[in-house]
Amino acid sequence: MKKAINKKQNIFTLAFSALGAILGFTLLLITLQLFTDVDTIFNNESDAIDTEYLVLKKHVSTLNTIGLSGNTAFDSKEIEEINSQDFIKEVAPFKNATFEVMAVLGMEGGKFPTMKSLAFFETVPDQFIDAETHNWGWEKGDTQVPIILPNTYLDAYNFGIAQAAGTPQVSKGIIGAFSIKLEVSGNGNKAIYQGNVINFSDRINSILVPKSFLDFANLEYGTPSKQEIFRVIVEVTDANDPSLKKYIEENGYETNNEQLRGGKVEQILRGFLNFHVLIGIIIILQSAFLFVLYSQILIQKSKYEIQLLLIIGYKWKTITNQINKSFIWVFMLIGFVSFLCFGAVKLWFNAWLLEEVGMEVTSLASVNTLLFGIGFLLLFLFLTGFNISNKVKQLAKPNS
Amino acid sequence: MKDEAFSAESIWGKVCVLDSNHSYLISSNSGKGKSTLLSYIYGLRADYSGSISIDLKNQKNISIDSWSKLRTNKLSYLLQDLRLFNHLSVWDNLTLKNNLTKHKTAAQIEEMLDEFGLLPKKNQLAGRLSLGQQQRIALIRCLLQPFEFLLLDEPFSNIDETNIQIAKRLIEQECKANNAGFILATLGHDYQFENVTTIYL
Repeated sequence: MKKAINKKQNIFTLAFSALGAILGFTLLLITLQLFTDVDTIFNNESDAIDTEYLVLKKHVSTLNTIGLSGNTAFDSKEIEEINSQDFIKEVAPFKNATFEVMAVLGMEGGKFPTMKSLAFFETVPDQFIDAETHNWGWEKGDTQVPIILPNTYLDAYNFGIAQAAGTPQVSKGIIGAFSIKLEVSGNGNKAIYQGNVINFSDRINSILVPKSFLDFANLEYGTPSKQEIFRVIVEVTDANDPSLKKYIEENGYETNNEQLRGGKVEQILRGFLNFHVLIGIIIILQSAFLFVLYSQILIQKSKYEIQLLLIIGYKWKTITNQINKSFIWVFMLIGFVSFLCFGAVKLWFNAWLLEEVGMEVTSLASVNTLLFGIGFLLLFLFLTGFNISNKVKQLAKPNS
Repeated sequence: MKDEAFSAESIWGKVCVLDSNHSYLISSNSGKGKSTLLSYIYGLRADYSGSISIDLKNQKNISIDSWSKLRTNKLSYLLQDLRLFNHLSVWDNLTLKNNLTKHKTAAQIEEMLDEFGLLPKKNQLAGRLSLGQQQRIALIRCLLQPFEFLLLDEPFSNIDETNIQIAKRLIEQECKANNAGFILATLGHDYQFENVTTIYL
């Protein structure tokens, strides 16, 4: 029976349809995989582009400075209102210190200059901190206080002060060797603590200390009436949400622009990827259409043979299966070659990312990509098979 | 069914029952619908008014799967235009049918070919044979299945007298073996068949 039908295959048309399908399929696989990779890159906690957390503050104008405008603190009503928005998952205030701190930075034996500066402390709930918080705790009586510094401080020293003063740059690891003397005063009391930098944060541009220390010190050295909330940190469902941006603007809040820009980059990238997926799908649909057309031509060309098989008693299902079988091989080949092409491109892309961007993406293909790929292949098979069986069935019906 | 049931008038528009214990000649001039009637019985066409029942089932209600079964067990049809796979060999044409029905052995098929003097042509492409040779191959193919009715549409139109006799013998022999009848469309020639009823169209 194979011999009876298959002589009508047109290799040229088939090859072209297959080539189109391979192209579309490879493109679709790559784009789907890029979606997953972009997700991994943007959701990577340690990466600089952190879009899930935003720090909100009120705009500080000259009028504030000369005391003609209202203060820039958040009241509890405003915080409640922020919390009630749909796109906000959680909100926490920055609690600030109401006492004076003088920080003295220096290293024994003096390659480094001794620096002395007015400082401040703040604290946020632990779950908002984007750094490892080992040894993050303080109990009454401890003379050492763990500190988390913003990454920007280290950068400011390494690329600013160190260059200007001709002192060596320092790494994150070595900073622990510095002694930071903290002279705390207020309320008529005075004390000296040993600051201990345990980590750096990208997200929070403030000097963080454990809450237990801040609470104690505020009581001991602070002025309770000065306890106001000037900044809040929020966890959002999606930093790209336009209603979030609108809300921030309408209420006159400000946020870390860099973070929103990260969101924009992601948004643009995703836009491009969406466009790619669209093109991939269009190419795939076109080649699916080509295959359906090809199978129709094949059946039209083999009409005499198919009708004859039906006349001598072959079942339409047997004939359909025979034709479909030849297509299954073609589709398996398409799938195989496409996955190979995809794998090659992906390996190259992973290497490029590591070399040029310094991002390591080790995965070759995610489960989603594979499932989507196989799903599309099955869809192809189904479309063509359905079309073939319909046509053969039509031929099997008595003319009326 | 009695012979009187069929007069010299056309059967179109009348009630008529065909019994497979009996054989029939459908006789008319060209263009009266002999082939059409056969293709109704074989389920290739359904463009008629009135009704045709096969095994008491309305022809128009028979499913396409049931047609396949009928065409392998109960009805065999030699079409006027023969319908061979021209790009296949004589042997492939015959085994394509016999593989489906497993009705004859290879030796039996070769014997039939031999009777018609066509055994040497076994491996030739069917399309390369003369019309007469093709007609005999198509006839052999019809006999490679069990049947209750053998439908023959002008089966001897391209065959010489000697081969007509061989064909007649084969047809009668196979009908007997299957306990079946034949319906033979003819332009008026009765080919001296015995015990057949002639239907006029």
